[in-house]
Amino acid sequence: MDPLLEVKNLQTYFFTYEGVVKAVDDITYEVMPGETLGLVGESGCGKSVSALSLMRLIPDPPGKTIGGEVLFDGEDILQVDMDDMRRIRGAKMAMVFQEPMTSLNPVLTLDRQLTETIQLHMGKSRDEARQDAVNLLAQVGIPDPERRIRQYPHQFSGGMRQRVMIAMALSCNPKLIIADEPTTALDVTIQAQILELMKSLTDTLGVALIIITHNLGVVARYADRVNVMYAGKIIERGSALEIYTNPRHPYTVGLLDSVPRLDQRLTDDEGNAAKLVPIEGQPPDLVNLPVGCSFRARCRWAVDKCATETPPLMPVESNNSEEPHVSACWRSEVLGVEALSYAMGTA
Amino acid sequence: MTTAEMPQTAATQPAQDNVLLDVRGLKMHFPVTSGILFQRAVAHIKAIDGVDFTVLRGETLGLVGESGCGKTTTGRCILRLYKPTDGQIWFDGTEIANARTNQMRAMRRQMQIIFQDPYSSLNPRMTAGNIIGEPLAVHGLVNNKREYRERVAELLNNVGLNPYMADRFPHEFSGGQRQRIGVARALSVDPSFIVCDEPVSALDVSIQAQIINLLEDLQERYDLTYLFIAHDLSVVRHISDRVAVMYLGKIVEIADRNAIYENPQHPYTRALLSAVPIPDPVLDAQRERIILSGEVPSPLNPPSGCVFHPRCPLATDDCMRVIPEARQVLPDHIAACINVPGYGAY
Repeated sequence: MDPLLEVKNLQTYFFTYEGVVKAVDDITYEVMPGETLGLVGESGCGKSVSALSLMRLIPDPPGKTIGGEVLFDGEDILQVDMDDMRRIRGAKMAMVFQEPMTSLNPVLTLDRQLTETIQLHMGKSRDEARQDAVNLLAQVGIPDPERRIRQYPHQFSGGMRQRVMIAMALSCNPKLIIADEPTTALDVTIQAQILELMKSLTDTLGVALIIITHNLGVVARYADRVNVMYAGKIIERGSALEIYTNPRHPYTVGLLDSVPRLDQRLTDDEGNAAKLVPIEGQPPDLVNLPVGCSFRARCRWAVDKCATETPPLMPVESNNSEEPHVSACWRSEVLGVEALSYAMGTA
Repeated sequence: MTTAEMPQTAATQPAQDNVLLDVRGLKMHFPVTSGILFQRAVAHIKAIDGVDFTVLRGETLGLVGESGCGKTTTGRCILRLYKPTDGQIWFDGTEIANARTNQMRAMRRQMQIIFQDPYSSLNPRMTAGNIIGEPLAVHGLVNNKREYRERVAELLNNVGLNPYMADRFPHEFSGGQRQRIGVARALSVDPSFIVCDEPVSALDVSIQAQIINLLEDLQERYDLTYLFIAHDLSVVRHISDRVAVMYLGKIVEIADRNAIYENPQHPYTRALLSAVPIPDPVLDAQRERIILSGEVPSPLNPPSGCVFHPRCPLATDDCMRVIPEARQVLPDHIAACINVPGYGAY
């Protein structure tokens, strides 16, 4: 099967007074039709910028996608002009933003906001579009859609607004939905509702989904494959199962160790309370990235080579050979053994 | 409360030395006003509606719940940043729900708060040193400038910052470092009790663990008692000794940490726990998932009977009428649900 989306060597830089911020620096990945891909990382690692680059929504100036290719459905969307881009956005590729509170227009009713895209992209009349919109609202679980569609965003709660955003993203039968931290602003029980809804809708409609999040649990539950990002680069990629059971990059290992988990043992064998293992230090400044591996300064396993040569994504031994697992670490082999014994000793 | 009533209530205080904080029947209703010149209350938001709990010396009580459930308001009432509508707060044998402002100022040497958002809770025009040192001056804890500087340096050291950072302004620090300043400020008056109001939720995952470890170390070193308010159930499980779960202004369940997480009794607690994904695809797929329908109702117009009944998978007709009191359902395990086996048996 051909990939739906191929991102090749994408580079998006921001040109600021402090210098050039390499927000997304040479990332390559692909999304298969209908699959759910997780993009994990901390704030400032470039995960949102990489998504906005796909939609060509980077504010220019100061930002600019300076290199790479984004092949979507066989077409390099970095080359198409803005009029054609407008026909792709919303129609073939849609986005669900993080803040349901601010991403709807407060002075328009939902009717107008939902029908606009349907009329524009699907060429339907106002009445047809409204009927479609009502059906969509029902599909995303908004009760009494006939009445609710005439209301303004402030009359909806956060969870309901995020449902509206999902309805809007689905309205023109896109092939790909990019969800940028879709549930970060929502409460735990509502988070579960929204994620289940997105997962079931994308499964039934066969839509590919990119979930961008910093929540490792969300990715574990909903993604098929995972890309881990750090300082503008993808540093590890594999199936969700591989990333969680066999992490081969020190940053991924660190992330997994530093979050408290519901299934974690709370005391060790001697009865002492278990401690979290934080990643020491701060993420690097993207203006002055160090030569070599950018995680080096915070890494327990760093050696001299890490300071001089930037590690590329290299295949590592995978528990399931059909799903390739790659990691950008010179010491991923050592790490596989040590991290495992480490985890078994403490967790 | 008038002075005539004071001895009566004081007499009802049990002589339990290990209880540092005892909150009884706490209510905080915020008026919703209408009109411009002559504002009158047209309704009340029942942010907290009758909450009872105790915090033992040296322990960490976790307070969890979704946004709007009243957990932050509870913390602020205890510090008397709000004047509670009703109820009593006993802190170390003193009733403070009705204490006067100057009495409270003295009490706040014992009780401090760490705020949620390290980006907006520090005054941008004050240096880190002055933010940390201001309480020292207010409470007259230092005699001269040299002592002041030494104490500030010591506090910075204790939270893992360098003393030379005292002259920097908040914008020169990262999020994690700012939260460390917030911690140092709370510690400056040497309190025995700290309300941690979502201290890590604004921080990045890898930084969260640093702050959690810092709070744990400080608790051990200075014998601190924490009320740890958070919505992240995994964080609360890690740091707490006992856990209270709030829903719409009421505590629905309170028990030992292990009891809450391994044997939750209230249907809301069960749903809340099942909604938290575990970063392990295999384990997570095996877990029971309860997806609650609907959303948290408005505290302006809460449902009749049990406030959770419109979303509850166990709800019966009785739940619409009976307001469930918090009762023991297992030894040392309190839940407010009439459908929990064992409710009323103790």
